[in-house]
Amino acid sequence: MSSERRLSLVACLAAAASFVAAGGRTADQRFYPDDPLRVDRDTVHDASASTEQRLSEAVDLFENSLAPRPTGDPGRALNVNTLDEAPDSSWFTNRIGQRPMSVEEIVRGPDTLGRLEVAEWVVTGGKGPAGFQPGFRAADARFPGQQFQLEVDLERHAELASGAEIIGTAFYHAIGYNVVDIYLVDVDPSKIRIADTATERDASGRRAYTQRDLDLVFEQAARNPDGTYRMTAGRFVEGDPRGPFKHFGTRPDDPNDIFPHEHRRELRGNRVFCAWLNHDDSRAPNTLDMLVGPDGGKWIKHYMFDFGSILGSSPERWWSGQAYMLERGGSLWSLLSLGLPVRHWQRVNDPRRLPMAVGRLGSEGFDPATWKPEYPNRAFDNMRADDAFWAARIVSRFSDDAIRAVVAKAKYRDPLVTDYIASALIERRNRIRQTWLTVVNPIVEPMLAADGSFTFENAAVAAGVATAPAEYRLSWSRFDNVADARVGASHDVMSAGAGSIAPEAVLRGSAFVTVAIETRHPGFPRWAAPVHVYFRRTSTGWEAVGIDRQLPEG
Amino acid sequence: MGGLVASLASLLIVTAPAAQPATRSALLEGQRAAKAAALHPLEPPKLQRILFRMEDEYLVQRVLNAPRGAFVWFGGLPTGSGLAAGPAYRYTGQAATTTIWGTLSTHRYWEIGGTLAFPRLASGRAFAEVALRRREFTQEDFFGLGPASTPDTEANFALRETTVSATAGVAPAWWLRASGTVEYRSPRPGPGRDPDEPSVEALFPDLPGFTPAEPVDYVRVGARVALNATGRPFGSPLGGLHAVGYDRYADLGPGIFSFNRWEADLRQYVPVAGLTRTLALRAHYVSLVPDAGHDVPFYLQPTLGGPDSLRGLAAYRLRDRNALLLQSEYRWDVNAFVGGVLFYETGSVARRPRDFRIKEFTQDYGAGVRFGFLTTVSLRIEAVFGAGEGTVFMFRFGNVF
Repeated sequence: MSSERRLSLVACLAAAASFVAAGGRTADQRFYPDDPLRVDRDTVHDASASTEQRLSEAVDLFENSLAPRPTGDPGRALNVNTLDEAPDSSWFTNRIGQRPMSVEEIVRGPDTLGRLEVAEWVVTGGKGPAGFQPGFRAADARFPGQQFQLEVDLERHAELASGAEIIGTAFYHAIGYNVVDIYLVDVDPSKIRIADTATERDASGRRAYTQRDLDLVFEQAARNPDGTYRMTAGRFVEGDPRGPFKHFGTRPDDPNDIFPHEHRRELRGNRVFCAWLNHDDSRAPNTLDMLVGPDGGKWIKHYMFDFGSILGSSPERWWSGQAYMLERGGSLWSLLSLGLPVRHWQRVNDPRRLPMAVGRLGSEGFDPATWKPEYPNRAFDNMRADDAFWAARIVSRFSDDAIRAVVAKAKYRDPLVTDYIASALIERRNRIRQTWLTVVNPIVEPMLAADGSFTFENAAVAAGVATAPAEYRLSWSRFDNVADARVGASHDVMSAGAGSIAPEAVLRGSAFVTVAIETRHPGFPRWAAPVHVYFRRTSTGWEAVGIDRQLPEG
Repeated sequence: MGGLVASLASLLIVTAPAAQPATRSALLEGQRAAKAAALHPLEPPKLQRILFRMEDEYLVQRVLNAPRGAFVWFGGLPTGSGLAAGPAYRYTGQAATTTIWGTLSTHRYWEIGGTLAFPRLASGRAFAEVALRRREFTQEDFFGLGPASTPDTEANFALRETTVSATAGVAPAWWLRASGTVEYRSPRPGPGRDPDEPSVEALFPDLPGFTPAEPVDYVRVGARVALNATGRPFGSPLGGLHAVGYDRYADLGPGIFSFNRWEADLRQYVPVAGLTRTLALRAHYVSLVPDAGHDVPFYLQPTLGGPDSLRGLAAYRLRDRNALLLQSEYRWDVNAFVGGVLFYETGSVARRPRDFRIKEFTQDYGAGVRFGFLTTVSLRIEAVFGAGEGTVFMFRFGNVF
């Protein structure tokens, strides 16, 4: 890294740190009037000057695999608001984490069409080099302006990739990421026409797309009993592609991109979502920046796509979710030990025992804390307990019914497959709850009423992964927002339940108050690390403006 | 430099005591404005640009195996021929692919050829190919016939040959493939040109088929059936991969070298405690049965030895009408790209099947490391011991079986 770039990075980090520093603290005041920020307006500056990032997959693999792994605390995510939440942005839109979503809404996901029915497809080109799934690009003959990418399942893995794509898209949308809408369609090859202008690009360059190309797609494909082929049709989103985004650094040509990606909450926390869905292919090449918006006001929208290999849908990849493709240290030992030590996960979830539509998605052997993607990325490496807790709360909000309904959207023919995948995801969700909702003092949803009654929720207890604590210790203080300091003596209150009455002496005449909450639970000594909650007086009572979740040691 | 200016500007925004923004939004807006004032373009390192281009434009495939147009033909000649390369050209039409090539090795082996292939007839359930080859191998090793041959009698011969063949087959299911072939061959053996070894006629004056009274041309008619029950489109195979074949070699010349060739290649891949360890087993048997009163030219007899069979022996070290090879490998995945292997193999040759003697079987064993990804073993490095002819270290492209 050149000295200039190093300085740039330092400066960028310093600038971004001003957003959060312990929950939004700046030089002369901790909370601004618009805190907590619900929306990060990162679409304001025109990004038209940006160009397409061309990222080598090999470089991404080795750059991330061989880069020094972070040691020590990477610090709090830089783009969180003062309530320790990720605000809405060009990266993420809070959905199920912030508001109720009906099962129907979760299942619908990003779909703009209730059902995609196409009488005649017109092939506009080949799919190009990416991915294992054969496919092509096509449009509805009636609406030639809207392009779709159609992909089949391989003959020996009917429904595997297409099911994963549908399920992953719906979940990732409900979580809050930008994804493209994608549909299951049954395609009759006899009702496909190849456009005169259709082209394919292969190792010898670009050429006309031919009937042979189309035949080759279906020759490799799993066929429905009625002679049609089950395919996914992913809609091409509007905008101009700007290539994938990396999981570290910022784009130098995007004025809105000021938070280093490895310090973004939604990218760090994505490790939990990926673990849940065994999205081990969660790497830069499966992301996409799109330049969108009107002339003069274009901005970059960050997408995640290609969920066809989640749910362990590359069953031959024995390392899926359990080991990096290039493990440091372990490889030499594995070589020298003749591979004789058998790790627990190597014995479980053997896809040979499962229907072919099921990938490596067992719940047995699944440890959310040790789950790994195919290769490291710096955002995942930087995930701290508070990032994981944030993500686990989102995962926790998917009910059993919602999970079953999303899996049902994949329309597996064998009900055993639907049951298996849904059950696995429910159990994996439970393990995420157990692992990450308990890793920090799980105080959430603090509310201070005008009459001084204070309530909060224990996320772990609410999720049923912990019993009620023995007691809570609440230390109330006045808070000087300008000086960013507690004022006066603290008033300690012990509470057996998730609430109490705030001391009148603290509330009276205060513009800001703070309460440090320690949770006493014999099973979770880490919960003694306090959560500091800050309230601001409003015209009608009190508003929670800050949560500072102190991470326990170790 | 612009990025540095922008970054320093944003630092100043953060640290300057005056002009503090009134809101969080304004604070962030200020930082973005500072960055907007000094944007600079993406500047990927040169290596990344090169690798991206290689991936995006499939440059490796374009150079080595282009679907259309000119490319470089690498290898394709027998073990011991040295490094071989040459020009090739491919034309791909709607149903057929035509490929022509010429290749020359460092030991002056050469081949020119062409194929017209119909790889996907009947919706991919059938295939056909016609091929024409003209080639010369200048110094094929020969150690004698039978299991008692020794490395001390290493000699060499040349072989010039023209072949014309037509193959057609069906693949009614992914696990079944059957084909039939008709081929015309005109092998012409001659004195070897390796200056370091004697030619075969000096050590073996009575080799069958070396100097026949008139040239031996063949029509070969054969059939082959392969059952592939490995069940995994990607990754190291698990399950069975079994093939049997029969070929009738009819001598069109002097009429004394007609024979039948039988072959069975049985492979079984057995998982050991999960998918990361595999026991790979192979039994390969080739038997040539001459017609009554006929013989089999030495250069068409099966061989053992070399990087794919008995690895502790030199290539073509054992040769006779019958060859039996038993191989076993314990393979384990180290990571996605590297695997380890321990192997043991044994085999022998015999004039007749009943002539096989256990005590005459050659054995070797060894260990190695393999590099590749999923189905592909790109490179293997192996050390082989126990064959009694010295330790062998080898670097080879491609898997053994």
